[in-house]
Amino acid sequence: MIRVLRLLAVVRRRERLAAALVGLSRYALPAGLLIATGALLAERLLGAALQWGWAAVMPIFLVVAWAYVRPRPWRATARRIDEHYHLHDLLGSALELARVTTSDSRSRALIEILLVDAEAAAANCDPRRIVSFSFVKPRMLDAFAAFALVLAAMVPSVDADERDTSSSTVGAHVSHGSPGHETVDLSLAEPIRQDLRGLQRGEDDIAHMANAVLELLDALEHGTISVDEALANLEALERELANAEQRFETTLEDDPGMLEHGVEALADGLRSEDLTREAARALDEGRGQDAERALSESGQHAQTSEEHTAALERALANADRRLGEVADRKRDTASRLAEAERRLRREQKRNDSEDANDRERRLQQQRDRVDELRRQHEREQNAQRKLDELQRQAAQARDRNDSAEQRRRALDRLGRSAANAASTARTHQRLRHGREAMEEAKRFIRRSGQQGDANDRRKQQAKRFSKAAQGKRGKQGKSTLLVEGQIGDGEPDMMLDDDRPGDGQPGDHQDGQDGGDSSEAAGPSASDTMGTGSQEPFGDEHGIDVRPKNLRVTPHRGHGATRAEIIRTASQEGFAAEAYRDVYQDYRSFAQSTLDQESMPTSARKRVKRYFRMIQPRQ
Amino acid sequence: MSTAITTHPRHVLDPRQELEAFKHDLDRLVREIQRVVVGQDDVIRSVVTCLLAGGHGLLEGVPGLGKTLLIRTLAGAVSLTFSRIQFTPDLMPADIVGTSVLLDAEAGAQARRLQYQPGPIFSNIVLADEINRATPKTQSALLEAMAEGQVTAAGETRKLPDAFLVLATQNPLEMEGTYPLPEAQLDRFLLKIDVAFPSETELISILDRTTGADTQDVSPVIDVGRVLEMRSLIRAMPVAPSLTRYVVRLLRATHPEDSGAPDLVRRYVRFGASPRGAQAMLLAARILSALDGRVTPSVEDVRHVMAAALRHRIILNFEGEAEGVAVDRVLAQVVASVPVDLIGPPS
Repeated sequence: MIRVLRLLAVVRRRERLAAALVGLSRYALPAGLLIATGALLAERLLGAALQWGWAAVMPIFLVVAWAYVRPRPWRATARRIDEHYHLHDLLGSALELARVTTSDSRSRALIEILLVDAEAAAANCDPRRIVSFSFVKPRMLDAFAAFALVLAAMVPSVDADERDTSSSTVGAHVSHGSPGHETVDLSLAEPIRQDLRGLQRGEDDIAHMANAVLELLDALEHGTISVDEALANLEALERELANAEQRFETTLEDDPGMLEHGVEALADGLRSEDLTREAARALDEGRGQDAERALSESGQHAQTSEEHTAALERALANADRRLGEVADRKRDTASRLAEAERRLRREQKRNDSEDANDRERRLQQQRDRVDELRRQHEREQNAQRKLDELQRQAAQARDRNDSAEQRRRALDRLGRSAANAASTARTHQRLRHGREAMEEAKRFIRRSGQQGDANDRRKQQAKRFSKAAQGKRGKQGKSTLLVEGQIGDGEPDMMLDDDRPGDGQPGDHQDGQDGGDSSEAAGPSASDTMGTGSQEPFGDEHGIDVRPKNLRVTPHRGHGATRAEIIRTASQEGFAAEAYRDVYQDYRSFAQSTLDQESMPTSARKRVKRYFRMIQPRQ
Repeated sequence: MSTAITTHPRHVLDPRQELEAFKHDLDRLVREIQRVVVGQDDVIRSVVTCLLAGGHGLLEGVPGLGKTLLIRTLAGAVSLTFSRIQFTPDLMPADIVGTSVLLDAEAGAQARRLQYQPGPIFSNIVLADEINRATPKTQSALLEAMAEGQVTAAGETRKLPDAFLVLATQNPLEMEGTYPLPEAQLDRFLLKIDVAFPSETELISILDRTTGADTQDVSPVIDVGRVLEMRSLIRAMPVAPSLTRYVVRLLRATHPEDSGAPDLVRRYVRFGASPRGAQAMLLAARILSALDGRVTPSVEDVRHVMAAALRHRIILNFEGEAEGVAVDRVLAQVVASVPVDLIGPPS
């Protein structure tokens, strides 16, 4: 059967080759031409990389692979040979009967004869005659594909600018445009870029946004796009970010700020011991699953020796204490909610001659406010429960009254809960950082668009600031920025020592900070570049030219016994918050321009940014 | 012309020599028949196939095509006993299987006695001429003989000769006063052989032979023993498993309820062929390949014998009968619709 099998092998090879040739001419050729046409059109019209053109050769590989892997029974090949040489199934029958065992001696003898005849016949068969190679004649489809390719080659390229204006996808097309715009020096935007690179890690919307903003900055720097286009793209990105924030908001069940503090507290507690330091690091970096794993490993490790057990207990005790501190912090959402509800009821009862539309609008505002506070209150309660749960699990995991297995399970539960909390907190954190980075990039780009007079403007701004610092007035007796910034809230301490734990700012931090209590943890720390030249930091209070709308913040519109309460309740009406927002924006923009245009140590830069983040007005 | 009769058994020879001797003897047999019968090569081969397979044949054709002559010549060439029964409506079963006759007491005998007189069925080759003219009762007298090689008469079962073969003829035109064979009896026939009208050349040759002074006598070329020996060799011929599967698929495709049945079968066939049809196909294909000097049958052999082996086993429904659908046309579609079954690669 050797000759038969050899013949079959040769014919099979030729069959596969012939099938590949037919497939190439019938399928791969038109498919390749059409793909090449598509790639060429994409390159010309959409600016896609021409390397996609290599996809045109994919049909060749596919056809060849198909020809060589498709199942082809040996019996079919044998039958093909038999039919070609009119052998009456000699080879095929021999192929089958060679494996058949029979007890009849005559049948065996006849099979032997059959095999001998098959071998003899195989020796006289020429595989080349059995399988001949041929190509399919060109068809209309081939001609059409070739014609399409020729037409595509004649399509002119569309400029990147045209594409940018026609496309709505931000960031996807800015890096491949053609230079033609004025280049912008973005060397001072490196801190923004660093922040964005930090956000780039991940697969979420923020990473996408950070990537797009980085591409935008690159394109702006290379002159691929103009400042206006960059701003337009940034606005589109901002909308995407707002959508992402909204999506996060709708899925939120716990207050992320509280969870964030809880995770920080847990990480602080765990950081105190070498055994749990890895878990603390993972929690710091928002790697919830890694933290869970590390905590579980710590638990296993703790079982190996009494020393490790004690270390774990100490770390958990610290975490328990820190979590307790966070959980015990006073929050005013409940009182604010009660006050808002009271105010809403009073508003509903009030029956004056006010315009009905105005009244309805105000009522609606009150209702929205109540709803918002109610949601916030529920989230805080949920977060509070989670923090309590974390605390309880930390306590259980170090309770010597329980068995080692029970403690290990408690530690595992703690790890899972912490991982979940870290995940929520990290998303919240990334969204916040993304928003900040976006705004910074926007401001930077906007300023770079006014590069011509930016320096002059900054000089004027700095001059006014310097005058204000010396207690001088602006033109026509108007106040300067610094003087405005001193209204009501400024405390001398806020400008000073940044290493000292913060004392908080009684006036602002309740309304102006995230979660309202972060000042306690980090304290106000400001760059000493601001206000250090002022000999009279408070200025002349009676000489301040207060803007009219500030005058609307009057005690009789607020409620409460103390000034703080009055201002706080008044701010809920929107008056003081709006005024403070203006003040804040002025200060913030000045500080930002300084950050953008001067070289500063990264640590100082972060400190300034953190400070402004803490005192920012509530949305 | 004298011809030596091959009588000795060949299975003691080398298998290849045995195969060559087989072909040689068959060629001699066919040539001897062709000395008398002009043309009709396929019919001759089919009749020889029936002989070698031990199955009965039903020849259908208009009168005058030499059906009876062919069968008579075959009997003469094989050196077998031959009897002819002309079927008529008044033919009785006893006329075929024999009857007991009352004999007078002979000298020394005490009383008269009944003695069984064997009928014409007790021959090697029985020509049942115009079988469809006899009544069903008489036709069914053949059933036991054809199926079991024995007859029961006068309360006693009698075995028929070893090489027993019924070759029946029927006329497809004269349907008046005929009794179509029941399906059970049709199924006993290995092949139904259509005898076609001869071509012009063949007709000229027939005229030359039959109207001239020369007469062709047939001489026996093989005997009963050799026939039985050939039958044994046929049964020993190996068949590829895929071919057996192909035969089964063909047979199943003649059944309208089978998933592989073609459209014509679904529309016009009431009952498909019985398993005897598959046996007939495979056996006839073996003989065909042996006639060709090959060791094992091929797909082409099966296709070649399929019509003769199945056409009388397929029962058309009313619609098929009314529209005059030819069974051969249905079978052609069956062949076209059933793919050649292929087995996997050798291990």
